[in-house]
Formats: sequence, structure tokens, C-alpha cells
Amino acid sequence: MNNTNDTKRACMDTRGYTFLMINTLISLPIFLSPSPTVAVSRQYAWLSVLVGTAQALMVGYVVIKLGLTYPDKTIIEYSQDIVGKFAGKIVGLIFLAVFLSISVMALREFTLPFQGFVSINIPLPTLLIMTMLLVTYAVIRGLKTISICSDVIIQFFIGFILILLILPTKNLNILNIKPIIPHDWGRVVRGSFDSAAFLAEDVIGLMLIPYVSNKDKLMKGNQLAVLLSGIALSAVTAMEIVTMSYERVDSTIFSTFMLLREAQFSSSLERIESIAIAMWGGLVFVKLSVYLYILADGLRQLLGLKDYKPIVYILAPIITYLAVLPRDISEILVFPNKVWVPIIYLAVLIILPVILLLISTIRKQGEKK
Amino acid sequence: MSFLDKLFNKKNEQDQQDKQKQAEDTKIDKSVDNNIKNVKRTLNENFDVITRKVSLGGKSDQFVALAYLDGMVDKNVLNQSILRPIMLKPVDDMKFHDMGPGRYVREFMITANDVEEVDKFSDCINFILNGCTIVFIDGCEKALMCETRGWIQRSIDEPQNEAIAKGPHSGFNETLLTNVTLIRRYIKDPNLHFEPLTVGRASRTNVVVAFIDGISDNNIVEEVKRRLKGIDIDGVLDSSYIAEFISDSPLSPFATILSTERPDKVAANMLEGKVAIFVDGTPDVLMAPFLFMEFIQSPDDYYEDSMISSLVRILRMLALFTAVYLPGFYIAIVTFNQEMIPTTLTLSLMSGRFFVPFSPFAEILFMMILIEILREAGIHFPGTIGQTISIVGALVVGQSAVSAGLVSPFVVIVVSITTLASYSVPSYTASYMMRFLPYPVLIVSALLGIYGFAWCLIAMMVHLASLESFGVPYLAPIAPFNLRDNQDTVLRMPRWIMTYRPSYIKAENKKRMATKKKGK
Repeated sequence: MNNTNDTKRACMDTRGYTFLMINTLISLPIFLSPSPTVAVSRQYAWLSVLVGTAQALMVGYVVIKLGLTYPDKTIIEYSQDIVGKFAGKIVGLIFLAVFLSISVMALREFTLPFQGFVSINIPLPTLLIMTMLLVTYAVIRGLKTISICSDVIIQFFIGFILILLILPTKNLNILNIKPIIPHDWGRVVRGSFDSAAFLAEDVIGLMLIPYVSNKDKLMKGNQLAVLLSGIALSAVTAMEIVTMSYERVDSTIFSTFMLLREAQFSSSLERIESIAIAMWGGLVFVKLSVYLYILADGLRQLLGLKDYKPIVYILAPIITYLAVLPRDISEILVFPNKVWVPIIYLAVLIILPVILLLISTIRKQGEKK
Repeated sequence: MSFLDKLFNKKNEQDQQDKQKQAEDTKIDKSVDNNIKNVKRTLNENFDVITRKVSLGGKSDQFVALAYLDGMVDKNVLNQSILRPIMLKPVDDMKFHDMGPGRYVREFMITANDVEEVDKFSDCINFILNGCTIVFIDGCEKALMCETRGWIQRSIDEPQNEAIAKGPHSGFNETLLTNVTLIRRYIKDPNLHFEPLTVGRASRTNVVVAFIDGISDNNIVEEVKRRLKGIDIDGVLDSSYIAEFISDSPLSPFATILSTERPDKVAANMLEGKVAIFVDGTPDVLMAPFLFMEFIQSPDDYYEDSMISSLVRILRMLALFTAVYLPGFYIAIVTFNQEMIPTTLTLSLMSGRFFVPFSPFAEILFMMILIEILREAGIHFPGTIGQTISIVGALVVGQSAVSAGLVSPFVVIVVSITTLASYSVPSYTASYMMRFLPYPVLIVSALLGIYGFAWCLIAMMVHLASLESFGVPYLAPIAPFNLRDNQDTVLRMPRWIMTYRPSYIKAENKKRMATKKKGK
């Protein structure tokens, strides 16, 4: 019925945006972030996550403030208005490069539990190609489809979080998390950057804002998404530390899977970590789709095309090829630890939006005078 | 469309148009004899076209003629209310000359209940084809249409495909008017609209779009009408023809338009703001929009206790997913991921398969196709034998296949659970989807194990998410999520909680009842 050819038509409301954002923010860290955080801040990891959430909230504030200055445009388009044509294109390219790198990493990481926990002898390229097929299908069907998918996934996710927080209670050992008040706040802050970097990914809001129908409560929705994701992440991290002790969390990459694997309530409930794998599939799939969509949509705007679909067909094989390149899991994890947290988080997620916001505010005030 | 098709179509179209034009051009003649001749010629002198020329009120110079189709008219009405008064009632000459023959016959002679004047000859033919009687009068350029429709029709039975334990047991039949009346008896709102349309070049099937003004979404009503008007087909023999034309994604295995034989279901849906499409000649009424959650809803949910209904709905949801995914899950476990299930179960699974010569995939595919054959045979066996044969067939074939070592007992269990589960989903519309979907899931899971299984789950989710039914997202109100609308999806809340109509249908009147009030 909505036969408008305009790609700018609204695909979701603020609630849909919040759900989509929660999905994108929490999908990877809920499984991957406890381990590196614990490595730095030991049993205070859950506090680190909360500190990280606070940082992410600040990033979220800047992002939405910037995004709502140009509510009908994406960052790719209005960066040229802010810093001029050439520099604007560079800014756009930087963002797109970040989105591309996340897509590639998320695609590769998507297959990890299927290889690690479910022993299947399927060659990696097959897995990646099949996954990419699904993602492409979702992206071709549009942002509305992706948003509806995330609505479905989030409802399961609420149940999943409850399972994560209830089932392992029989392994509780409060001693593991003591002392609760940290002696060493430096440790806590240093550990916070990992989760903060994940939670600050709401920078993709800069690409999604034009597609949200009702923008009045967008700031609230976005901050709520960051806050809820942060609290859930902190709670799960705390649960892992309490039940498994921080040394063991540190030594396992997918500690959340381990949390469930050890949480057998009775012998009739075996192998419940398969729930986690299903959840992983759904969450990361939506995240991948969102990134491929904004990547294709951003390229469309940068190149001044009308339709994003041809770009998707070109991008999908490229991303799949790039995802095959890392040889094993240690090479994959180099990216989040060495590139993502120190460089991208600081430069692209914090400094760049702040500068853009500052310049745009100054320009607007200049125009008024 | 290929080039040849285009060529032929063009020719046919022209023929059709010429014929129609000819018929429209002909005005009604003043002479009765000419009119009779025209009717006979237009309807190709067929044996069931009856024309009768009689004297008007015993006058020797004034005649009238009747034309109708044998078998389509109620002969009692024809004889008692049209023929009898015209032939036997003496004519009051003064009035006759004052008013003219047409008006006089209409107002003073014919006693049938519904009589109308017709100007065009083509309309006359249309009415005759629909079962009315046309009265031509000497010296009058207008004809009279008398409503005499009446033919043998099926009684209002309980629909066999949608039988329920409790609640009204009436079902639609093949007559449009009866079906419309059944709805009228449920909803006595003056805002209830029935808008007639005609679809089909040859069949000229009457189609009625029904909705309640104010409760239904005007955009959806307009969209339904627009799509119906766009249909160009020679004949509509069943409402499914129309459903195929107007549904949003006819190639998807998931129906985006409901077809039901239950008047109570149609009435309930219309009260939620949906649009009904009645098609003459079919007991299946179409409803739009149709959403995924309606697969697990049945009218008796509303006639039973809300707690029980909610539990039954959860069960149906489970059954739906079992029917689609169980074979795929089994194959993924057996061929790839034995470690996914408890060890003891794996051991007994494997010991059951020990003597089976085929691969698990071939084994389960064989059993599934066998069940399909039995299912198909069960439908086409004559009369009551059908059920017996299919049960015997299943038992004998299943039992002996296991004891002969062709298939493992687990496969028989899996396939029979799948089949049973597919029948516990109440919607007949869903049954075809549930027959088809297990196969792709089976194949992908056999190739990729539990990853393939998960792949299928996500693929189905994306597909469902991408569907729309007349502008409403197919997964609504689960996604996009709306808490208030979810009071009647998987759970069926008590009636006094459901104060509002579903919000995915955008209408002025949203409130079902004024306040929340329990019975007491």
C-alpha cells in the first residue's frame, strides 16, 4: 500500500528504534565482552560495564543531538553541509569504513559458536556464504523487515536474559565477587573501555534517524536502549563472575555459553547452551543486517544513487570474502582488542561526532546572527 | 506474457468487445416479438431460455412477453405473481392510457415483491442470466425486471473443514444472498456495508465487499476494492481465484488472506475492522487483512474459558512449529550433531537405526512422502472408506516397514508426530503451508546440520517479517510489538479486558466497550 518510491519513508517508530538499538548494541558483547573486561578489571568487571555504559550514554547524547539537528538526513548527507563538500565525503567514508569493518567482523564472529560449540564439519566459506545469503535477503526486503525481525528477537532475548540470571543460581558463590567496593578504581575504568566501545555503537543512529517515524522521544528511546543494554550486560557479567570466578571467565572466550553449560538445574535439562547458540544466531543476524543495510544505504547516498539494492549485491560477496581472511579465532579477536577499542572508539565514536556537533552548532548560531 | 499470447489475447479481446458493444447498442424494441427474437439470438437459442408471449389482461391487441432461464427462477413466484395477474386481471382502460402500459403493468398488475424498470437491452440479458424474469410490453421502450431468483441450494450445514465443539454450527453455502443474510443476522449495525462488484468476463460472478463503516480502515477497504476491480479473468469458480489475484504475496507459502466457511468467524473479524469478500458460488468467504497469529486462533477460543483457550493456543503454536521443523531437527541431530541431545537419547536413537540400510535422510524422506500419499489417498477415497483405509495403510505400512528393517521406529514416530501436529493447527489455510515447508527445512538441515536448522528458522522469520497483508505487517502485533494488541494473540485475555480493537487497523472507532467491567 505504501507505494511511495521515496526510500526516506519511515520504517519504524521510536519503540522499534529502541528495540533495534538494543539488539545491535547487546548482540556481540553479551557473549564476547565479559572475558576481555574481566581480564582487565577482575571481579569489578560488572562495575566496569556500568562505567562503560555511562560513557556510552554520553556518546549517545552527542549522537542523537547531532542526528536531530538534521532529522531527515543521514550523516553521509549532512556531513557535507557541516564541514564542506570534500571533508564531508571523507567523514562519510570514515563512517562507512567503520561500518564495513564491523560487518566483516560480525559475519566472521557469527560462525564461531557454530564451529566451536556445535561440531559440524562444514567448510567455513559455506557457512559464511549461507549466512550472507540470509542477511542479503533481509536487507533487500528493507529496513522495515529488519526492524520487525529485531522485535521478534528482542522478545526472545528478554526470556534469555531471565534464563541467564535464574538458571545458574545454584552455582552461586558470593566470595567470587568480593570485595564489592573496589580498591583500585583505575582498574575499573581501564576495563570499561571494551564494553563502552560496544555500547557506543549507537552511532549507527546517525544513519537510522531519518527512518524513524516519530522523533519526539528519540533521545529518550536511544538512551533507554543504551542503559538497558548496559544493565543487562553488567548483570550477566556479575552472574558469570559469581558463578564461575573471574579467572575462569578470563580464560574462556564465550563465557556466556559456559555459564549456561554449567547451569544444569537437573539431569533433565541437559545442553541448554543450545538456547544461547540460537539466541546468538538471532541477535547477531539482526546486527549484521542492520550494518549491511546502513553500509549499502550510506554508499548509495555517497554515490548519489537512487536504489541501494544493487550495492547490496556487490557488497555481500566482498564482505564474505573479507570475512574468510582471518585464519583463526585469535586473529579475529585482534580486531576488537587492538583496533576497535583504542582507535575507532576514541576517534570515530567519540571525537568525530563531538566535532561535527560543535561545528554544526557554531554554524547554526552564526546563521542566526 | 509471450508474444503469441499477446496476439491471441488481443483478438479475443476484440471479439469480446465487439459483442458487448453490439448488445449495448441495442435498445429495447417497442415490439414484443422483436424483443423475444433478440433475447433468443443473444442467448444463442439455448434450450433453457424460455420466452412466453401472453395477452395483457385478455386484450386481443396488447401483448406482453416473459423471458427467463429455466432452473434459475422460482416457478411459484413466476406463475402466481407475474403470469396470473397479467393474464387474468381485467385492464382498467382509462388508467392504462393515462399511465402508459409500462407503469400500469408495474404498479397495478404484477404482484411480485421486487420489480424494476430497465432501459438497456444488455441489462435485460444480464438480469436474465442472473435468474430474474424480464417482462417486455408491447408499445413500451422499457422492460420490467422481476426478482424471481430461486434455485436448489445446499442447506446451511456445519463446515466440515472448520468444525468446532462449541459455538454456532452454521456455515456458509454457495448462494451469495444466503451468506450475506447470515452476516446480517449477526451484525445489525446500520453502518454495515455490502458493496457489490462483478468479476469475470464470462462468469460475471457477483462479488460483495462487506465492512462496517467507522470500525474498518477506509484505506484497506479502498485497497480491497481497487485490487478487485483490477482483476481481469474469464471466470471465477471459487473465491480462491480472487484470493490469488488480490493477496499481497501469492508466491509465499503463507496465506495473507483468510478464507473461511464460518459466519461467526467472519462476523467477529468484521467487528475487529477487517474487510470480508463474499463471492457468489463459493462457501468460502475471504477476509483481509490476515495475519500470522490467526493461524493459531479458532472461533471456539472465544466460546471457551479464556485460561483454557490461552493454553490451547500455546499448544497450537507449538504444534505449528513441530509440524514444520521436527523432521529437520531430527535429521540435523542424527546426521551431524548427536551431541546436542542427552547421551542416553542419542544411544537409543542410534541403536534404533542400527539395521536400517538407508541414510537417515532417505529414510525420513521416504516416510514423509508415504504419509503424503496416504493423506492424498484419504481425501480421494470414496465416502467413509477413506479414513479406514488411511489408518489401516498407516498402521500396516508403518508397522511392517519398521519390522522389515526399512525404517527405524524413531522415524515413524517423528513423521507421525509431524503429521498429527499439522492437523492440530485449526486453520485450514495453514495446512498447505505445513505440508510444504518441512521439505526445505529437511533438505537444508540434512546438508548443514544444526546450523542449517537455525538457518531455516531465521529464514522463516525474515520471510514472515517481510510479508504484509493489505498494508499491515504480517507478524503484527507480535512485531512490530504492541502490548495492548497482544491481549488476543498467543494468549486470549478475558473478554472484559479486551476493551479496544486491534490498533493495527486504523479506524475512528477503536473502543469495543465503554469501561472495563466484570460480570457482577
